Amino acid sequence: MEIKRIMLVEDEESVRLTLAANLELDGFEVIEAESAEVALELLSSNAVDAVLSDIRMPGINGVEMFREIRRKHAELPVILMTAFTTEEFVDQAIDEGVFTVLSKPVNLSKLAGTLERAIDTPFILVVDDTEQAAQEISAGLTNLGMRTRSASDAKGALEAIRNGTVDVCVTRMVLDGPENENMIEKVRSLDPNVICIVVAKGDSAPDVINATRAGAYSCMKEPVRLRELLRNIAQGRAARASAG
Amino acid sequence: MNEKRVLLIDDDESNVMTMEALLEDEGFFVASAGALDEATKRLQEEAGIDLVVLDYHLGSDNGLELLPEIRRHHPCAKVVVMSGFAITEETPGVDAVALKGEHFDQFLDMIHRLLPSKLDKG
Repeated sequence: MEIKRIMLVEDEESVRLTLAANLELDGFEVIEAESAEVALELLSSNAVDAVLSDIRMPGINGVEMFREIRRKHAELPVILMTAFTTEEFVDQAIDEGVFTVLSKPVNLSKLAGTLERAIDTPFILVVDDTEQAAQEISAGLTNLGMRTRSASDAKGALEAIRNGTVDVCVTRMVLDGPENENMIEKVRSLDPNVICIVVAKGDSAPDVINATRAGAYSCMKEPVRLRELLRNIAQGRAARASAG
Repeated sequence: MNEKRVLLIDDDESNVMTMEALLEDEGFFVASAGALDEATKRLQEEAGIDLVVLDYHLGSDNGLELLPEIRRHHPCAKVVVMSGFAITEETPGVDAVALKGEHFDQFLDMIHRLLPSKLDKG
């Protein structure tokens, strides 16, 4: 198996050493950087599979570094970490398409899995029987460097999940046709790790209740706003990385 | 019906939609506010609030700024703070912290623990 290489950016030495040691135990090769400046310099001569970085650091912060990485290495997944929930930069990072933001102290038992998923650059599956709606959502996500797939019914959605790496499924609650019933249950039974985000009409309380009971991560009100969707995706991934 | 009153303070319309639907389905009476000033007004006007579910990030404001107002008007109300990302800081004056998107049954269990005598559905 190919060894995956992680750029770890953390100014606090003790935290950096702990994270590096744990990631190495999990089979990653770790390149350590004590600042964003050092990381950017190292990235110019070292290929890595993902970047894991603190946000608040002296000099260039983690979000500014993420922007710089985006310019030069558009495909490289970046995961940020912060100890501050009120961190003003978190929203900016999410709006600009960071994979997720983890709360410190990070759950070490889940960190390897989160990094592996980010390295797989999973697809966000958009399910809507209105082609235009699906395309609009997909286009917004693609512009931010995310990979998307679309499906117009439950059958297509399940096929996409079977065929590729899908970590998030954004689906309209009521797709026409009986074959589309219990869509969330079907997705969750095929792959319980898929984060289901359901789009529902504002006045459809029974749909919201059903979707939540079926295991949807969140419900969003129609029409979908990209900013809100990005937040739901990043939060869903962070929740998965901190659970258990 | 337990007829307990919940005030949801959250600027995330989708989360309000979801929480309202789920809590009303559980028999709560739910009111909501989406911004700091609207929430302040609600806290002053609404009587007998048993539980305040407070979003940590209220637009550009911190939802915790409302804690003194909650305590002034509803000293017995329980306060649950919700956040999209795990809160690791100490939050004095808050009865519980919940993660958005957490399984609703877990959230409900937490409310049962906070309001034990008031949530008997039988």
